Amino acid sequence: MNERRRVKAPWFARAVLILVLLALYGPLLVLVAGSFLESTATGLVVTGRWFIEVFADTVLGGALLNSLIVAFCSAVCATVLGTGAAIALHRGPFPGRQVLRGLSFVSLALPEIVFALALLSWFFLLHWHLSLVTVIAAHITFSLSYVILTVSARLSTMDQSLEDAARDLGAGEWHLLRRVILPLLKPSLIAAFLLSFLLSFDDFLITFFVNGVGRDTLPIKLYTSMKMGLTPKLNALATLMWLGSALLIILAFRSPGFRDVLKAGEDKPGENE
Amino acid sequence: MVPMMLEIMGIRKSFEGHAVLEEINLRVAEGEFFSLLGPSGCGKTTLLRILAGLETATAGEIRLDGRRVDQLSPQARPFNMVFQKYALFPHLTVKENIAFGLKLKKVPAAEISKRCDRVLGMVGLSALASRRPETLSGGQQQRVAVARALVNEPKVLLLDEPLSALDQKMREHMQTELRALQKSLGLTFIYVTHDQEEAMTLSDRIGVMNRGHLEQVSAPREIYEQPRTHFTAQFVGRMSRLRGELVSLDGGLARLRLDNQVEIVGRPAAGAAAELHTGMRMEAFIRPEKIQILEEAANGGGRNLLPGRLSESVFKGNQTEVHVDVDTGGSLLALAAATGVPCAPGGRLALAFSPEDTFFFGESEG
Repeated sequence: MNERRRVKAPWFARAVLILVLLALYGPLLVLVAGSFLESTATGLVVTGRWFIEVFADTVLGGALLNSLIVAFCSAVCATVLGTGAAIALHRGPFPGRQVLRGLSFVSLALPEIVFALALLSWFFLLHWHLSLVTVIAAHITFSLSYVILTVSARLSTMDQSLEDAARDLGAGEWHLLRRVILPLLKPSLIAAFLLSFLLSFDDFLITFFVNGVGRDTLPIKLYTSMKMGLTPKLNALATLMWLGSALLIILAFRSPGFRDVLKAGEDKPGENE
Repeated sequence: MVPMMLEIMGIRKSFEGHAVLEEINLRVAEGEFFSLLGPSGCGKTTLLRILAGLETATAGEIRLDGRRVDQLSPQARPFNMVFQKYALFPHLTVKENIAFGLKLKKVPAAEISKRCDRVLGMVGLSALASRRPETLSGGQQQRVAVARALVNEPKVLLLDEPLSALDQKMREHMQTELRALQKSLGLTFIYVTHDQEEAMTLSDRIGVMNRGHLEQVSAPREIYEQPRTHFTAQFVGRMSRLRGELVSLDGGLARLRLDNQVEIVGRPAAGAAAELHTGMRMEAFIRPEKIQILEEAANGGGRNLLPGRLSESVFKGNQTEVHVDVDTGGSLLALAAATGVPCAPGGRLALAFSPEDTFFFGESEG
């Protein structure tokens, strides 16, 4: 046994741990159990029927498609725009750079309901008809901060002399971006995309405010169906959504780009004399 | 006279009002291995980056074969640079790294491949062409960085402390390799380093830099044996020092009175004659290896002779460092052959050194 032996935690610490785990996973357990069980005259039986019903439901299928469209479009746009902003902020120095940097993280600090109201007023002012387009626009807006954060973290750990070397070898701005910066940013671009996708796919509150009538996303559909009564079918749907999100989160966290965010701030890029 | 290929004329650079380079004038001949030597922060890297076009000079001109190049973009200059930490592109293979510049210049693929293979052979890395940089050792990465610059056939190769990240043994090996490569290609090298031994070993000429200006530009031997400024004298190699007052000036030689009225003869700093006046405080520099250790009663034979007491001797293998507290005040370092220490610590002896090897510099200089 190579592992160093540690003193066992006292009983009350273990008790707290069990309580915490219960609080965290108890509700999930109920949800998942609910999606597999059916009450019949003879008692509870395990069934996969609810899942089959979910997949057979074309309305739900339509909502899922809407969610995927919104998540994909907003994630692509947010990744492109956020990356551009992060590169501009990184390049500096220009007046107001620090202020802009601070402002770009605004959606991290803003209460979601405030953000939702602000977006709604904004679309109203612009006379935009509420639809999936406004939902996408809103999702791009709140994803941007996360993209900028992720990409900036990677940029700040990137060796400045790589850019110098590329210039010295004859690269102009365009080739520098295409052949050096973007390839080096790839892991964080993937992470940023996954994160934006997930945030969009998950979002209920902001979508609820800025969505038009007729085309609901999956979380909205789930909410409206819930008002008709909590059925095992909804449990099954929720279980599937949870699994999908969990998969994406694991992918995002395992990507090297995300590790840069966790590392950011520890080391500053080296300065030349 | 050798035709000068690269001319740096009146280059200045300031960052936010702070002068980093003041009036650099320098001419480098074709095929020359020229080193910029100085402590960190002296501006040598900034000068190199201005040559590369990565920084813009505040004032001045750079000419190559008589044509101005300082207004050209880095891409358009026939200069290539080797960076301190190699700056290899981690997402590209060794060969792709080397091909980077040629691809941008739209060289046909077949020729790119041929030229890459040739430089890979030149630096002995043909077998590693398809590897990623991070899988290579420091020395190999260094060779890739050199190859990546050389493949563009630059007129001048700029090297920014290229060996500083390597360990001692590898560094010495790479020094030999770089020098051989430079000679065989007949290429002009501008080499930035803070390592004086490296500069001495490699260079045809060295420019010693301090606080944004050139202190002295000479061949390595001259830098070492005839330092022209206080800074060069104390920066390059080791020096024993004495302080005193200038009492007389006679042609090329001067007399300095040390603190207890003993006088020594030496050479005042070249080019500073106009500023010299009797009574000024000066510092005398003598190379430790030029100081001879004698019996206390010995005759100096026309040389400067200072009696003193041996305070410490340090065995260094091939030689012994002898620290002597001279009677005039101060401590001098002399070198003795491993077996040649004449007495034990505390014993009396005398140090002799010739006026030719004694340099006087104004104390305030540098």
